[in-house]
Amino acid sequence: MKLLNRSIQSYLLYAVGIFIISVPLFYFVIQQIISNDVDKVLRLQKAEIVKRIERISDRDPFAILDAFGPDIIFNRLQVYRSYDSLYTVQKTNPATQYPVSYRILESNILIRGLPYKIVVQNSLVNSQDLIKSIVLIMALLLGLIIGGLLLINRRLSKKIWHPFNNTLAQLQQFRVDNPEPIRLPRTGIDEFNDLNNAIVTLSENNRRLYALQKEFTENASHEMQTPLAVLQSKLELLMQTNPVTEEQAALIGELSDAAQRMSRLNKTLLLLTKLDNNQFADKEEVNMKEVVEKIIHQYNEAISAKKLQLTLAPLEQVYCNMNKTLAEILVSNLLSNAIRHNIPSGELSVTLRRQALTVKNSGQGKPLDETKIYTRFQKNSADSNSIGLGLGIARKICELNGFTLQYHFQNGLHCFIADMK
Amino acid sequence: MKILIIEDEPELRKSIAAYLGSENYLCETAADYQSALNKTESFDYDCILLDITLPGGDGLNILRELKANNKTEGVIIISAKNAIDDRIAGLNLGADDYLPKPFHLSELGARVAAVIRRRKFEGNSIMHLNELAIDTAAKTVTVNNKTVDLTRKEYDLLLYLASNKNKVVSKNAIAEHLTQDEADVFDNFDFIYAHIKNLKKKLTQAGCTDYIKSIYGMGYKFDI
Repeated sequence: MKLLNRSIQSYLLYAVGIFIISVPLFYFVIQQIISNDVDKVLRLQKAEIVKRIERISDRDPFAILDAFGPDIIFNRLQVYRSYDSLYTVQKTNPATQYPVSYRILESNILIRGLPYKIVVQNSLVNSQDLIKSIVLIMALLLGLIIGGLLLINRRLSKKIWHPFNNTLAQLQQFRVDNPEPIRLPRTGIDEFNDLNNAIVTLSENNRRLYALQKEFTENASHEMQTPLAVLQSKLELLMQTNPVTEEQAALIGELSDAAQRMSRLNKTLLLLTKLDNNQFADKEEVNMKEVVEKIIHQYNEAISAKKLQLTLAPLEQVYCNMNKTLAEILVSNLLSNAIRHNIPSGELSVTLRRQALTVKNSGQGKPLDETKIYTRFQKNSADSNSIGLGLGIARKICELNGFTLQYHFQNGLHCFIADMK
Repeated sequence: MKILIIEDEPELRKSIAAYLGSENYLCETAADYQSALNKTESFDYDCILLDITLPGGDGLNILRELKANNKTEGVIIISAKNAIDDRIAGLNLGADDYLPKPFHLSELGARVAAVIRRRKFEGNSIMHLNELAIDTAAKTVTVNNKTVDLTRKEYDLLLYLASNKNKVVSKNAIAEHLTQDEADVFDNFDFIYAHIKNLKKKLTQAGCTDYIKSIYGMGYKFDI
């Protein structure tokens, strides 16, 4: 739920609550007031009638009754019992057939010692209309006020939250390896300024730390090259010495293998730092078919040494806007991975169609753990030549170019798909 | 043949000098920018090995000076920075080759030999090794003037071993030379063994002495 809706929701709940309570409350209060008013009128009417009857004392009170109209009923009582009552009844109006409320005052009175019952009634139809109108207008006004408030609040909130949304959008695009620092404009609101300052400081610290770490890896790999070169050269000189016993020769050979592996690892690490530094910026239209054919040709010997069944179909013309060196490294890494982890006389198939390169190979009969295959230095075989960086590099290259690299395990074949859309 | 080794790392300088020195090259060394510049200005060399990150200045400037003075030395840049830009800049300035560190001395030996061949004999160079002759321009091999039919890999292997004659060339160096960066897809060095076997067979069948010796545990040697 959006923050904006959240705050409006509370307002809305309150407003609706007030609305629900206030309209009936208002209705009852007004009805009460009007009812009191009607009661007063009824009492006054009664007093007036009594006064008039007393004034015409010499005549029969019933004789003047007609003058009061149908709303007054006057009856002679046998015995006087003190009685005075006010109530409301529904009566059906004979003319309109509509039920109409009447307020009725019924009381027993004594006129010159004789008991009478007087009933004064007053139709409430007018006052009910009045109440209805008042309540309606009141509801309308209340609705307008609440609606207006909500609208204004929404507008205002949107305007106030704009800098926040702006900051959020920038944060979502933030990457520690981005060469551009995060830039947030000053806002008119202190809290947002504080937030922006905190974010800028935090992101700058992260960027700096990342750059330092990257620089360290880069420097370390660079600095390692010279001692490695010394080690390798001394080993080669050692090979030239005479005499070398078989035991010594085996040791030197093994040392040379280790030095070779170290130097290959170092080269790969340097490539990774270069990828991280985005040092392969120059792009061109690369004919992927040519690249695949070139790399296959280079690996021909390795493929035949393992007696792999190579299928190249279909290889369609696919063009990709990317760095050519990286395209070659990508294809080469996927292929060498498929060759290295293959079984002797296994299968290897490469297809290039619909902007996707698919490399399938036989190998261990169980799927690889997809969460681990791209992890640096994750080795899946005891093969010491594998340094566990190849797939990581392949994925990094895909990432840099906005491609995706997927892994499937199907019919006993490991399948990597580089989707170059 | 005079070679100048411009390299600031003393151990590496010593190694290169020792390796190339035993190959009938006369090696001189320079450890920094100024002494390198002094030597290149005062003497002529057949080949200069140039490290471009030097104390006291940019190695590429030495290359610029050489070209400005119309010196004809072959220059091989040896650099710790395996950056494509550096490589292109160096080659554009007239360097003959570029070898990133760390490298095999045998690889360096082969490259130095190639540069000197190109410089000295203007491309028309035939390497004579008794009855064996390797024409590096036509990439053909003859034994007693009879052509031996070699595959591309076998020819590369023979030239590589012959360029480092009388030296043990390690299997790692051969693998890297033959496959460039793809050596890592091979589980072992069987493919080298297969190439060596075929090469030896073809050469001996053509009447050539079996010069290629297998050195236990380490590699191979062209023994002459």
